[in-house]
Amino acid sequence: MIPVMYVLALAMTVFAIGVFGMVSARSGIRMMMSIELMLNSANINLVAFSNYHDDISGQVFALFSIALAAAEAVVGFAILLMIFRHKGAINVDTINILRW
Amino acid sequence: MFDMFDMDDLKKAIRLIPHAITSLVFLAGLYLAIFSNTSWFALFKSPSYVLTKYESGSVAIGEHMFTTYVVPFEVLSLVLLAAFVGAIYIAIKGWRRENS
Repeated sequence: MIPVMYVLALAMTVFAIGVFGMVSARSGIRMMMSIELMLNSANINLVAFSNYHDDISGQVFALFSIALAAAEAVVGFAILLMIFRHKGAINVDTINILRW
Repeated sequence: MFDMFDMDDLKKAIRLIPHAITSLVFLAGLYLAIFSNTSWFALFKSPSYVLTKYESGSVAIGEHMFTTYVVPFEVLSLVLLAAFVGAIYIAIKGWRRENS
């Protein structure tokens, strides 16, 4: 029996690793990977509380969340592909077309 | 002496230090917020409700997904379809421009 606090600590640690990757990444692919880490830490929380409250709805919601993360990754990689075709690089320091 | 070290790698590592400090402060704030404000040091209960009603956890997830959550499931399939069609449209548009 694992206490729920340990699972929450794991989720927080994974989220902090994702934040570190997000703020330190210069490549677009690495940013997408960090976003996936942060989304999956939220999924760990959902499954932990689903088990804690003895209710299966949290795990169903985690499955929905995984599918939405897949859709988000698809759209993000399509955008990165078009940025690479226009600019020849996916370095996020060079992407300033949305700058005011 | 300094031939042993790659100075570019050292500079990259030094560049990462403020990002690491930022994410560690973030992680410390998360730990503080969770571990100080809550008192659920309870253990995981055994999944009694789920396992008495269903024969395994995946059976329970499947039954919930196709009875209680069947409308969100179908909406999610439409969302995935829209994401894939949009991504393929974006990718094909640039590919045609490159090859024409």
